[in-house]
Amino acid sequence: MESDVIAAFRRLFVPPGKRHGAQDGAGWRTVHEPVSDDDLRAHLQGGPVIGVTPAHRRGAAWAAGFIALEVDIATGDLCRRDLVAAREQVLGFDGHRAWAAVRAASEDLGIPGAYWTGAYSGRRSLHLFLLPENPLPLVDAHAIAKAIADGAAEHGVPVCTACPTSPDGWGMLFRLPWGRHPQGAQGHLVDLGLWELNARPPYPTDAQALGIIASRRVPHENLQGAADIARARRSPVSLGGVPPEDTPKVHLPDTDLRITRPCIAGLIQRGVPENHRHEVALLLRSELKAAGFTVEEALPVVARYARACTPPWDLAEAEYDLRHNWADTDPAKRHVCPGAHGSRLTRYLHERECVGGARCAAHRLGLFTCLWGPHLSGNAKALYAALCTLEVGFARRPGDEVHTTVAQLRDTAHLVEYAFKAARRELEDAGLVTHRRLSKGRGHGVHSVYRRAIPMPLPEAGFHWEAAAQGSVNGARSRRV
Amino acid sequence: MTRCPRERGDAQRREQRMLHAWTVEEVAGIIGVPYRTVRRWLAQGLVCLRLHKVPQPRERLRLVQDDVEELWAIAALRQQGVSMQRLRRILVRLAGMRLSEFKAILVDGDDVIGVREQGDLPPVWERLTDGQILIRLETIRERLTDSPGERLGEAWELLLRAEEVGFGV
Repeated sequence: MESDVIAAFRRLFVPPGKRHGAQDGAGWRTVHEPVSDDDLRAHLQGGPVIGVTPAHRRGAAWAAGFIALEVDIATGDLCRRDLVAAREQVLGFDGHRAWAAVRAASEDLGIPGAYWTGAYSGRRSLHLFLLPENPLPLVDAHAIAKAIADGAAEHGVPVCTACPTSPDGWGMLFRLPWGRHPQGAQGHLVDLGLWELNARPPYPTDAQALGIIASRRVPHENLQGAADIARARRSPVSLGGVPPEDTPKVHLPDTDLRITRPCIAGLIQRGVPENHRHEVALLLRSELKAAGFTVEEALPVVARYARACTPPWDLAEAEYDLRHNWADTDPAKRHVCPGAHGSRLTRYLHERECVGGARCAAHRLGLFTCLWGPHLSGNAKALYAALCTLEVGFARRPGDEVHTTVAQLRDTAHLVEYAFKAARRELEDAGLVTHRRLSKGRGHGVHSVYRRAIPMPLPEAGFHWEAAAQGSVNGARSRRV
Repeated sequence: MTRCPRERGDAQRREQRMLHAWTVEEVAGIIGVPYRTVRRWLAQGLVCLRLHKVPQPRERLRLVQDDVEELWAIAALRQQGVSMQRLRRILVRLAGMRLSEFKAILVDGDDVIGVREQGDLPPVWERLTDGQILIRLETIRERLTDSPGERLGEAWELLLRAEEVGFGV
């Protein structure tokens, strides 16, 4: 009977909770109610997909109802073009490789591979569940999930979500199995074999699978031991406050000036709908980190973004998200423009916030003219503006390498050879630009790679006037001597 | 290859929109003032150059049309016998105006009035009273068209835009 199946499904996958997420064609939204049987029925019958967090209150402490990992196998582009091929990739060699990496990491913690349950998300991901016999302390579940994700990464498989994503009750939702992906196909369970992955039939044909899954629940002792091993291995995570040593400290008068991309500034100003806010928060974090912000400096910016979201994002949750993920945020994951062929998020951002090349280049130049305008010659400023123009023209992010020739740069900056070299020297002496030649010889065709220094260095006090007193050509050149 | 009139018109408009710049020597010649006088005005900060807000020592300065028009206004006022003290007061008023929007400016005491369309009004100079000075910006624009100066690249245009608009571009 369907009600029995729903009850069994709930016992396995749906921890008690006051709210859940529902995904339909418009994206994810939070529903501030517990998951009802009708919700589950709709989920199983191809309606809005239900997402739940494993964390729930158990007395005074937090407990986790399951541990789940999500590994993205296929690309979004492939899913758009050919969903069948994407599914084959998830269930084929790549999917099995991901499972093998997770299994190896799990066995390192003393959890045999036989306890895992696999599911195909309906689009690009393989979901892997570990269901404890009894609810597990959330701290332990988080430590295990993180250790397995780290172990899989060591085997070359990045896990994009390891649930529970936090040890204290916040965190992301996880899509329940057997649902129909709004932008994809029907999800189903997967047999995780030693040599291959086998697709199981979808619900309701596969209703008996719940009995098999129930028999695979992990005993408490196994998980307790795994949590101890995971904690012993885990390196301390910085929760912010202390910036990485290689990030130069920049103290600028206005944080707005330091966000030199109009698309990111637009995000902070206008926010995003609920279904995008976590992934956009990641973009924002990486952008702020690349711009030299510390956690404390980033906090007001993220708070503005959280307030601007629709509906407004809880500030405590946004702060937690920032502090907890700051150390792991990789500036290389910044938004890449243009987004015509990028990920769903990149395209979304491009369509909504892109202001065009000319304005983007002018925006990138804004901080420079504010800080360095009075200290550099017009030629040096024009050369810097030319670099910004080329950076935008080649779809590079601020501070990315720009491959160009002397001729192209001179043409863009409209400088003769002597003026060009003097301007370049001026910018290099100020620490604003570095360049590296790629080809030998002289003349216009020399290929070089230029890079703007981001975060931008600050002009030193007396930079210009000291030099002027010495009668040099300009402020920067005298510093070479 | 012969271009059709429409193409020629487009090219002409592009050419007009492109940023042009003149050196101090060229500007001195165009406005008919000795070179050293123009240098002195610049050193005294009477004109804040768009592309060189803080000129560096021995830097080659590039003056854009707005700069030249301001220098033209100063030259015209000095020619009419306006003292430097009064000139500075007038320049404070002038600084808040975009000269490119006007065909002429009328200086009355320390007040400055912009004249947009001469055709719509009876000729302003016929109604000048004692002490009023009319500076025809059309004249300098014609002269600048005759000697178009150096054509600057897109980087300079970007720089000018960033300098003018500031951060909120």
